[in-house]
Amino acid sequence: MLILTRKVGEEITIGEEIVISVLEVRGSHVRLGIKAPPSFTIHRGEIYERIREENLRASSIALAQAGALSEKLRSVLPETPSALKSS
Amino acid sequence: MMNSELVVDKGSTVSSLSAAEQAVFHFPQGLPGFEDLTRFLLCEREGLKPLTLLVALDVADVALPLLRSAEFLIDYSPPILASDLEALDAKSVEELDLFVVVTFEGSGDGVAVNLMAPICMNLTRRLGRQVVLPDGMYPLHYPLVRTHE
Repeated sequence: MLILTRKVGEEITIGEEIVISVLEVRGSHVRLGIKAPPSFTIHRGEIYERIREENLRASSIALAQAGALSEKLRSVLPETPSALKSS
Repeated sequence: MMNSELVVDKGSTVSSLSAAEQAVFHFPQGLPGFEDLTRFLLCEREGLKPLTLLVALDVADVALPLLRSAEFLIDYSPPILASDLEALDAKSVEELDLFVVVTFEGSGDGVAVNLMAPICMNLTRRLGRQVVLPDGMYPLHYPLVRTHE
């Protein structure tokens, strides 16, 4: 891993199109600005990790329990589509 | 065991699927957790309805249970970025079919869907992508509970 030290206002460029700037440092929080082409999706690491875990969990039961899952779905789904319930 | 015919192991069982099910969908970026898998089959069977299975073609035993969001929600309209549309070779979100991943909840009793990262598919172009929405817009765990009016 490349490790760089940067000050507020300084930047890091990756390739020709991605620029990461250090906007603010306050205590243990660092605010970063990221410029990248729209084809790059940018997320906080932990969000992607949660989606990963969710997919792995979902796939682990799919084949063996597809019948049971489908039955369960039929019992909980509304007869007609409804509005999203806020939690 | 029930549904064992759905296990895809490089050829032998693929031949038992219908022509529509043998259509290969490409997920050029893979899926979170399955970054290396880019080819999937979409299995929609009468006996499994409303469940749809997204079955990986290149490894055995990887399948994601999906549900079409339009089957149960009327107001789920996640913002799909222009770059996602472009990757899916679509001009507008109307050209896409939106699916959500289904999981049994912890106890195994309830079921939940992931509304935070819909699986967007262009069925005509046979392209798919799991879009991760901005945090806080839709829940990662949305429990499905029958409401009695």
